[in-house]
Amino acid sequence: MSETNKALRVQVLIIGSGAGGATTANVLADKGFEVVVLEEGERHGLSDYGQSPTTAMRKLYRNFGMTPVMGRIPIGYVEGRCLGGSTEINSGFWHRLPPEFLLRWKARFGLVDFSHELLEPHFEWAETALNVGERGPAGWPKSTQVLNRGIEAMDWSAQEVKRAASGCVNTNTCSTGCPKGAKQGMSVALIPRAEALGVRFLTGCKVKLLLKHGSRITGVLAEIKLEGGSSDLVRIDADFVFVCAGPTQTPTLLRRSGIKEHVGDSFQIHPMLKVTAHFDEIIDAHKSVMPLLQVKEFWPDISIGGSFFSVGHLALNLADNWHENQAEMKNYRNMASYYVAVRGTGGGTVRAKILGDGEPLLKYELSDVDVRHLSQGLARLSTMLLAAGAKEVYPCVFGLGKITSELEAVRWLDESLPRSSLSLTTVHAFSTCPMGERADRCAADSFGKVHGIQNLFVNDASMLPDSPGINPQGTIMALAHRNDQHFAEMHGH
Amino acid sequence: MVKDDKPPEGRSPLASLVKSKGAVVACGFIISIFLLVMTARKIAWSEAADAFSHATWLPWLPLAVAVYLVGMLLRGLRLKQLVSMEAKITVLTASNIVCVGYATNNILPARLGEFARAGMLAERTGLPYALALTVTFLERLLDGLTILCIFVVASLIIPTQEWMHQAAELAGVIFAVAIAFILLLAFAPQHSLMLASQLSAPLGRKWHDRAIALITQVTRGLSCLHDANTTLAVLSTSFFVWVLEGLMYALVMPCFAIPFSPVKAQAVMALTNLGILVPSSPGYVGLYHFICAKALQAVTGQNGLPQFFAMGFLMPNMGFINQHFLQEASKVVSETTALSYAVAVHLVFYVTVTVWGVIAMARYGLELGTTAALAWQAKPMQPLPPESAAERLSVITSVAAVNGKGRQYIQPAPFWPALAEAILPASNLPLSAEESSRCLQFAADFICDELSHLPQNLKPLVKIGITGFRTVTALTCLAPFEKLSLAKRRGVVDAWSYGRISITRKFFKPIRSVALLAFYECPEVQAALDRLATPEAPAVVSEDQEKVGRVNE
Repeated sequence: MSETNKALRVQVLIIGSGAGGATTANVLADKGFEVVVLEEGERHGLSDYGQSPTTAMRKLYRNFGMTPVMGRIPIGYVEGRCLGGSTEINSGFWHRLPPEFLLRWKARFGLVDFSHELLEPHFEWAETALNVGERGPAGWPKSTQVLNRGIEAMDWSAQEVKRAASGCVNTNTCSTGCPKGAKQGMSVALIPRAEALGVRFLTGCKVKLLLKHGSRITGVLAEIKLEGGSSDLVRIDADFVFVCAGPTQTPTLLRRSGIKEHVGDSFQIHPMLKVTAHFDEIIDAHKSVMPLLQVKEFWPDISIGGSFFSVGHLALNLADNWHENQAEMKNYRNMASYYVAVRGTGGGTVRAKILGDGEPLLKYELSDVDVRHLSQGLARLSTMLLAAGAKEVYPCVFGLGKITSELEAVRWLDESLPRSSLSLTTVHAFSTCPMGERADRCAADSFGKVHGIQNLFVNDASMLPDSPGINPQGTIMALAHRNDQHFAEMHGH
Repeated sequence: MVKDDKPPEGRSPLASLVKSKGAVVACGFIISIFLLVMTARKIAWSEAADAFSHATWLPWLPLAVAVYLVGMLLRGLRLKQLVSMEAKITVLTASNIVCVGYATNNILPARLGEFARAGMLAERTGLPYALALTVTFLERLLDGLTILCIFVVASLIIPTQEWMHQAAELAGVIFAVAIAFILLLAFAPQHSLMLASQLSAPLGRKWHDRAIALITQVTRGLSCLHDANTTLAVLSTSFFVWVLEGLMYALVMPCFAIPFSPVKAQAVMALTNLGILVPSSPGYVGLYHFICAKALQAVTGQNGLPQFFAMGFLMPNMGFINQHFLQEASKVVSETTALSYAVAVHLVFYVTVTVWGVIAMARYGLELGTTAALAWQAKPMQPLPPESAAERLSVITSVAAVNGKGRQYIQPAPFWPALAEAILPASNLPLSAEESSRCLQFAADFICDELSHLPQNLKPLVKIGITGFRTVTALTCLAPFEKLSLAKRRGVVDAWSYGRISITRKFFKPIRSVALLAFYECPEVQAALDRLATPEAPAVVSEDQEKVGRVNE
């Protein structure tokens, strides 16, 4: 054993390099802190991006994309495991936290210094850093145009969602990493900036334990993967630790380390049901970015929008009723995928497994309200797509055949889909370490400092107090930026 | 990265080893001397000389030695199985390592040979010493468990005395605690790490980090138990090792006109080996003889089933059976005879293993004293690249890569392409046979990959499901799944995927989804879909479709 008294000591140690971690690294390095970031995944260049989904799942996704959320209905969940985290594989869709939720969070969780005006500069910072913008109708691909046609036919309120992207050329590789560097994942946007400011990123480095002494974290035990498959268990001492490992890994690490108060008790997701629509016209959805419009008519309970499309994913979506649907595969050029997502009023937990590797055990139970909303959402979406010119709509529901008429669709406005037949996925998870001054329900204070620990902070999706009903990246980065500014002010920078 | 922990200067390794374990060594010698004196006091030496002079050595003694040698090879096989995830060693090398350890136990007191064995394992494989010691400890635990089980089974067949039961119960309690501890370390490594950190933190940084390093290596050494096949193989091998050991004991019995009784011999062997767990003199002299003799006397005085197992009455007229025995068969073995027997058995294992061990040491160019020094050494791990920021990191311990022989949880096998073909509509697409085969293989490999990366708690469920599927299919179709025709395979898969049993539908859903995703991402399949969708283009007919066409004609 080497002499551990010469342990590496850093001022600020950040665990995770996703939306929250990269933001924190940038802000604090800019303020003059010495920063080291530990990232479990590997660093990838643009040449590693844009490959097939099967390759991307191996390289960029946690558990090769196989992370089920258990419950009466298992829900497929994906998150990134690479430098840049889930921002490397998401759509880049951008929202600001709606004022309604801002007020609700403030009331329920006791957030201080929390208002639309106070958050404005933080959103602006993030939007500038990530080149957030709209494409405009002139740049809409066919899958968006048909969606717009349906929205206009139904006279619903909708908007083009802004994206963290610059110069998108429709490679349709958002979920496999953008090889053009157009989508502004952290590896393209903030991490190079952080490195220019002196931040050191250690990849292949998984934190096993936070070392606690009284009410302080003294450092971490981390496992660094070496070439050839061997690994070193190292100790890194730190003055301050920011845990930004994501909504499932952050609470798991905290719980493994004995920090459990309101940690992992309030796992929230946006359950999502996909459908595939078959049109007479050529859509070529596999050659364009996913649909850019989101229907706001039924928000916040129900959100409708477009989904990633590839031939393989089409087969995935038709798999539930494969015998009836497989003949449609040859028509993939005339098809596009859409989703209905609900805000999620059920509840779940994240726990560290006692047996095995201590990895997260994810549980979530859909509420009856969720199932009703999904059913209604399916009815609305199907009706809209038929109005847009779709010949058939294929929902990801076992035993439910294609929907070919409005009559077949509206049935689900009044009936609930059979729970056990639903094939659900989610890419949004949060609220596992909710922030706020309410010590009876929050794991961290209004600025992410973990209650009861002097120098430990949470600054990622897990700090969102509740489900925001929108793509969360914007909110995560703005709140992280706000918290980092506050931290810097508190520590004289 | 790993500091060589050398013994203090100015002292030989052997002396250091003995000195560091001084209390245990002293205790061992005291116990052995006490038992030797107690035993010697009761011996009628003239009777003992008589017993040896009248003993019938052939063919029993050579048979006993041969059986014992086979047992040593099985021990080597077991060691190879235990380290299979960490290193590659041959059965012979592993047997040599075991023998060196045993031989060193015959030379050094208080089981110090275990440390030498661990050191040699570390030296031969490059594993960290702590990991090697963990494997040695696991072997000993398996030995104890197996011996206990054998004793329990033997005591169900033949009556045994109360003190034997009490000794076995005491050993059982000790082993149960040890097993619980081992299972915690093996199956809850992260939790063990956390506990070790919490418990050692008050001791200061240095002892905390040492505890962490130790726990890391120990849990790694126990990770072989995660693989069900390895665990079963190790348990089976352990069972055969000790059954053979008992058979060796049985083969020495007829030398002294004791009826050949494998079951009694197993009981004697079990108690003797449980007894020598107590620290004692080199080679367990004194302790071994005392316990072995007492155990033999205790079991041979009993009536009942043993007559069934006594081969003597089956072959009364064979020349090598001592006729004198047949008249004495029902009598309890005398103390002198029992001790003579114990001496003979001890010599069989002592001489055999010491000779083998010395030859092995000579072969590896080691001196007897250096053998002990191996306990302090381990190969260093591959260093971090010097330009990395990590060079300033404080490395607590290093963990070697898992043996690169493909430890994927779900291994590719002919079953998987057969399953993929049953799920996927390759034969309905205009693909050539080669394209179809390639895409199906790709899908099969992807299924294995994805299932192998499920969260750890779900993996055993997948294996159980697949095993259940294959078993039910084999029983109902009277053939393995992969040997069935495509039509029949599709029927089976459909029954499981879309049938009325919810759990089979749920089980097949992720497999079907993953297979479809991989298959349809193949460029060949997408090109085939394009051909299907373009009515003007000439149809590309696969070889299979051509054959079907000719048959139909």
